[in-house]
Amino acid sequence: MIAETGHFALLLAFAVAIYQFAVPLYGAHIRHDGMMATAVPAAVMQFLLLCLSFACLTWLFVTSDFSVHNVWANSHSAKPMIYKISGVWGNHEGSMLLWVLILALFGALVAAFSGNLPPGLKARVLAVQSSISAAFLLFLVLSSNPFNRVDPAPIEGNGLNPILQDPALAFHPPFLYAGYVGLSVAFSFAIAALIEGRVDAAWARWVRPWTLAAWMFLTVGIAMGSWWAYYELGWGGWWFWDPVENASFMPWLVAGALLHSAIVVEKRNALKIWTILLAILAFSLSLVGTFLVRSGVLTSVHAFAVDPERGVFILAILCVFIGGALTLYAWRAPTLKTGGLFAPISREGALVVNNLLLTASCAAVFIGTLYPLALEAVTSQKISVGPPYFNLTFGPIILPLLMLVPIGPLLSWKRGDLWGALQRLWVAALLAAIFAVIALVWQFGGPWLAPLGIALGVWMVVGALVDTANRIQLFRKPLNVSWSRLKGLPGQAFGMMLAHLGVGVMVIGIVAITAWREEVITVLKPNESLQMAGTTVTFLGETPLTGPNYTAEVGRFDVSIGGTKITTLTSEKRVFQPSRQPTTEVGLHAFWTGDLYVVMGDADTSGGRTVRAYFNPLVHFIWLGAIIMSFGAIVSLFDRRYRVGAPKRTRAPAPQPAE
Amino acid sequence: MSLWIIFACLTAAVLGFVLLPLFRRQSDLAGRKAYDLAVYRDQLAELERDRAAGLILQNDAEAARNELGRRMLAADAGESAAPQSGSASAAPAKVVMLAALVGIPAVALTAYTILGRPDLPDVPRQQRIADAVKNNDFTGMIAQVEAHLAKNPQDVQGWLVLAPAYRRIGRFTEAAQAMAKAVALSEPTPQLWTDYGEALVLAAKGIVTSNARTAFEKALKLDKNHVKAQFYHALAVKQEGDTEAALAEFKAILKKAPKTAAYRNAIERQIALIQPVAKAPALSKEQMESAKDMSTGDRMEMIRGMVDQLAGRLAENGKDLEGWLRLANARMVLGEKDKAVAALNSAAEQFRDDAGALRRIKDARTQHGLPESSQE
Repeated sequence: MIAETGHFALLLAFAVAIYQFAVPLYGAHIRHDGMMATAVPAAVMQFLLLCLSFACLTWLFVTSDFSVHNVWANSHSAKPMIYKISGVWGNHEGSMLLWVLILALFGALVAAFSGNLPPGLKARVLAVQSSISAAFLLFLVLSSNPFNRVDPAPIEGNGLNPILQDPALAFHPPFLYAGYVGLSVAFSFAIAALIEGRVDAAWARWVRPWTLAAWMFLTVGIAMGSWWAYYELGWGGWWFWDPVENASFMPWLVAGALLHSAIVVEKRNALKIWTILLAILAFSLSLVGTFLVRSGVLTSVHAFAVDPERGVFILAILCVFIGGALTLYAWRAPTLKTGGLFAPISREGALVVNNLLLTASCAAVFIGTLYPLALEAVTSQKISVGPPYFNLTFGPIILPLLMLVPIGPLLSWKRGDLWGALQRLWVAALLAAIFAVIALVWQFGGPWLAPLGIALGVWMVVGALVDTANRIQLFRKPLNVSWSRLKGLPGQAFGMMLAHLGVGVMVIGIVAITAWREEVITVLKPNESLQMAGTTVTFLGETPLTGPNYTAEVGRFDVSIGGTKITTLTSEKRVFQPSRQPTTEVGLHAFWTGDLYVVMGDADTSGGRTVRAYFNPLVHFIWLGAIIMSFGAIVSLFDRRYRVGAPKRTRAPAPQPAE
Repeated sequence: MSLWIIFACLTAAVLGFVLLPLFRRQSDLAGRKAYDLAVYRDQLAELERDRAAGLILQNDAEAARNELGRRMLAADAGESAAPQSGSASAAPAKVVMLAALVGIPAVALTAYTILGRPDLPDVPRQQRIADAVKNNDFTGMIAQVEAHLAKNPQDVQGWLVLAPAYRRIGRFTEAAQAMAKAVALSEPTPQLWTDYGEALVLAAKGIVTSNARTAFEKALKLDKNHVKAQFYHALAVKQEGDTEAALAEFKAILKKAPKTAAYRNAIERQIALIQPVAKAPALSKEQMESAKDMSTGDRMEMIRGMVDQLAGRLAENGKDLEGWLRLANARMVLGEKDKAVAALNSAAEQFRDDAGALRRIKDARTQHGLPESSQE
């Protein structure tokens, strides 16, 4: 009954989605208030129905109801409860249901929190949003229905891919999807503006927070994925330029550009057409990302042929939405009024540079990700585009952007004073130089670019702080004046400081691990040891272990510095039931200077174990930076400016229409 | 039934909620312009707050105020010609309402009738296991016993229930493992040793492994007259290649067996396999002698008589797989293809729960070139 209720709720949500697409759009066209207003309850209802459907599916997973094909194929009764729940979205069907659920959630949020949007715009935004829902619900119902049944029901399930049985990966997809799907709101706003042929003041005000929220979720999602890859895959790296990673990185870059250009639209009423294009591109890249990951194109172009129904379906959705949006853009964009002139050296100019560099870097990633796929599809020649390509293309584009980050906020609107801005940044420049010298002395003989990289990171961190110090007139006014100014600082200014500072922190981490990582791969027998970054790692031996749904060999390692024992690390090789798939668990110890990372590999014929040990200096800075960035986005979201009141409802002063 | 009530309630709630705004007759929405102005007024207020807090310089504030003022003027002038609020006429709303009232349930219900399975109940695993006995759900019962044994691995009785259950659904390896537990946990009787040995033989696809042989020897040590143990022991001897000794052992069992014993067939068959002369086990020496002198027609007649006898016996007691297979074989020899098919069909009917038996029946069909049946 629960299974069938979930299924029916899903189908009913599809019917509501069609209604929410058609009626408000028509209502906005003929200016019918009731029909426009109906978008709001429809959006809420669609969300509630999908909630019910998702809750039903979760219940089926929790109770191990193997009469549902999806549960049988992806769950197992012996799994710990948390992975039974995360198993709901740990498979294609369930994750697509989560995708549409989050899509509907954003629709409902737009409905609930935009009382101050003009009704026509609101109706159109919700209609466009719902057209995306309807397309994906159709896809879900026809080619990936999570509620298909098996009769008679098997008694035991197949189990979840053990590599997904991990806390970080359990919550990585929901965040990533919230990011991907959040960009749909900006997209819907852009399409609605194109249909209306005008960009309202409220439009400019509302695109930015939604983009910011999506960008925040994307940041968290990508950071979680990278953190998971770091400690679960056991390769010691944190980013591999893998196509799946790139699929999430591209919308992140464009969303970053979008939330900067939206500032210009809001503050200066300029760059409107460009912002609309970015909004379309950002969501299009999300769709491309979903397509790449979901269709199986990435594993191989030929895997695409294995399940052509799904791939072709998503491809069709992709073509309709991206193609349709760009066509509409080409047709309607010239009718939009442009406004707001500015000199090249100004805040606007800096934001344009930011936009150009971010989109260019995204293009570099896009080519590197899709070129091998296209080549394989056309000539069935397999090439792999790896880090060297990305270092050579992405690097040179993003470096100047990073150098310019502290300068932009110090320029004023319309006409800026570049020399003045640079003068105010002397502290940042000085500290950057000092840290570069320290790095050079500390790691003498390392790569010569590394100290410059550290200098860049310090320049960004201090530069962000200088901007804030400048705003509160620190050291120029008495401290209590500065303090009160700090308290009165708008959330947006704080958010910007944190986000830019976070990027700087991340740059320091990336430079450190790239330039100064140490790596030892050797074979150790029990009680043998290896030397690594001033520590002695001794292999104590291995013991068997039985987990709830796996068996493991646990290797234990003593870590000591100069004979003093610091800690004992364990690294496991697990074999999961019933698939017999192996996974590794890494032994990690965090020193303040970085991570000691120990992986026990395969058994050697001589009775020893292959052991890989890494010292990853300052690696935490990467995720710390991501946390600071997303925190900055949250602070900015709570800016009081977004609590704009709705206009007072006027009893139309004009003569009443004759009836 | 309650399922359809839930569906009806859901649909009604959705329709009620979604269609409500369509009843709205009068427009109470502000004009387009008002929304733009509201945003600008808000921005002005924000500017004022910033200026009061000293966050923005006097000059900058002045410039910003001018800019906002210009935008407000532009917004005010921009749409004066456009109607201030939308129409609130009822006609199109009625059409839309009617279309939605029919359309939303129609889409959902049509899709559900095609895709849904309202006939299937939920089968949560715990519930299924708990209700296994009530529902006569064999797989569920096995899981129930498994769950019980996971908690009480010392329960011999549990293992003894589980082993034949596994055997019945063809999971012979697990059956052997369960028997091994039962043997390890108890003081085995000759019967238990024999059953354990037999489980091992089944798991090894008919080969009497050394472990199995040990089990049979243990059984015979406790009771040297245990027929089944004797039989498997003889089989082990035969599989080791000592056919003479095996034959002697089989004959010894047969000699002691009562005339009506059901297991005579199995032993006779083994003897027949070792001694090709004894291929028609039902023929006694005298019958052989007389058959030698008969014409072909008469001989066929005699064989047919014997076959009919066998068929009669199987009709009374159908739990004899070897008998059925032999009957089908004989029918084919006599050229009675239809009756051979009928014999195998009856056998399949008798042994419909026994995967091993069904496999052998299927093999027999293939051997004789008979069409397969869906049951196997």
